[in-house]
Amino acid sequence: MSRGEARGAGPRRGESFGVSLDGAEVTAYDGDSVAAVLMREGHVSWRLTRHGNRPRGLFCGIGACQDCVVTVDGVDGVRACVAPATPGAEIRSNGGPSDG
Amino acid sequence: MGEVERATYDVVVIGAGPSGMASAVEAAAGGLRVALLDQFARVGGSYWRHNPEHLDDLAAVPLHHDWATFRRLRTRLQTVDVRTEHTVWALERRELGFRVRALRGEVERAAVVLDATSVVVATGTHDRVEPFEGWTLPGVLGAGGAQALLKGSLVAPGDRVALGGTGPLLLVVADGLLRSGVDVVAVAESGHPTKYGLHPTAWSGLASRSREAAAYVATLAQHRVPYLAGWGIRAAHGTDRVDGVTLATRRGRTKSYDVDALLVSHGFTPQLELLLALEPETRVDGDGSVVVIVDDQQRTSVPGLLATGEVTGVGGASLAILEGYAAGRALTDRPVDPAVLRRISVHRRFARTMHAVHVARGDWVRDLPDHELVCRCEEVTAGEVRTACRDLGVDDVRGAKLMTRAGMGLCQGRMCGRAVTDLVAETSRREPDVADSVRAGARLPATPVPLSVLATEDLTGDAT
Repeated sequence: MSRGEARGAGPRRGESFGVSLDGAEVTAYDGDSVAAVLMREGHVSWRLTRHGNRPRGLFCGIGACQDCVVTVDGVDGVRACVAPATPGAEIRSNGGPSDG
Repeated sequence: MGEVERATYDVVVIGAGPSGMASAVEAAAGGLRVALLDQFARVGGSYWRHNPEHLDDLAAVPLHHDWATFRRLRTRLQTVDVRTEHTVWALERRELGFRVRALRGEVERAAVVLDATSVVVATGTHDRVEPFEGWTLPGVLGAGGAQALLKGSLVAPGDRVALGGTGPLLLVVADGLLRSGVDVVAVAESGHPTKYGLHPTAWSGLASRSREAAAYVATLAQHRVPYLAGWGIRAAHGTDRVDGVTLATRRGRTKSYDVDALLVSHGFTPQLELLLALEPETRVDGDGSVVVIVDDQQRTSVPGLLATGEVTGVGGASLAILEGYAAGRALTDRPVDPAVLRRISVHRRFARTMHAVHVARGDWVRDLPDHELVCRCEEVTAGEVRTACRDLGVDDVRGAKLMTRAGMGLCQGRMCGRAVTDLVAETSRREPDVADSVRAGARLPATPVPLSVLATEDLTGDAT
């Protein structure tokens, strides 16, 4: 089980499929947001701020703060918490440090 | 450049959380052609965020709240045009009714223009997070946002988590994390929940709610998680991510914990951006939030514009569902069951008590060091705002925005609006004007819109 994954017998995950995360194939599940994929893979941040070069990741988690934006299929500024992960999606983090 | 999709409805409901779903279902049951829009991929809102497997998974029931109601409402959406992955960025008055402009798909961003005779705004809330030292570190998250992540994807925000702020949500989220095997080290509640004892009638008619609260407290006790009443968040620690938190009382006692996530909610901020563009009458609610004034069938002061759920006053999902039902009845000129109106008033009475008990700490603004950011988007520090007040004569949010860029970034002041208001008030020794700060942030587009979409829009002319 990967870091950040909820434990226990618990509820089922959605059907699994592959997405590309910074060029590497990783598993996502139906119902995942792009942020969920990133966090399941151990990332807590995935971009750097313009002025202070500070790492940012998920903050409000519901589409309001714009902190978690990421590049998906070549489109910048995608809210990772809103965008659903879809089979074959290409997710590119924008330079935030990761411990994944 | 893509084609613009256009459609016309009797009613467009914006937001598919509990109140939006109930509005849409009831309006459609009355024979109206209804569209239900939500920016996320599935209906249910943050409250009922889920993956598709959960719909027939008994093991998912404890993860969710009031799940049977969700399943029932969802089934009844069959006669509603459900438009998920639609982010609304403008709501306009037309000669007859309203025009709703949306982007379809967070990646695709196709232009959608919907016309409707009536609109129900059910856009809900986000966590209110008062700034503290270290609040921009990755791993510091809104508690409600973290809960939505857990419900939707079974991903916990960390392995060792502290929660802080104020309100029942902290307990609900802690309970969900504990059930998922996460180590919860402390819950810091800046209010004093024993004060519920001062409002003994608040719980009457809400037996299930009091049982639920007792169960959460019991779960915390069983896992030996300290529930620290009267404690606030002093600082989050770490370099590139949060690795610790210091909690403090007003008298300066402190406790520190190692954590890999810190979940925060100082109550909620209703999302009024779309509503305010149409200038309905508003008021400041008991929790300090600006909310829309509605009558007992959820009608705002703007004819044809209704509002339900948290944008009319933060009161929880049960209240929101009842308000949605009332709005659906109003749209189809049918009376509201008097028993429902009584339930609504019971829930509103409880909400008033909740607002009185769970008061955000309020004195954070003095503790915020000059070097700490207050505006996350434009990276404006508390010191810059203070300097603008002291040296440049700034004494309101607009002035602070012009002089420092605080609130001028992509979130348009949603995250920092309240904080900047309090900071300006403290520094310039004026009463905070929350309503003014909310108006200052209410600019369309309500979300960033690509120029390619703006170019396809006939923003001034009539319907084509």
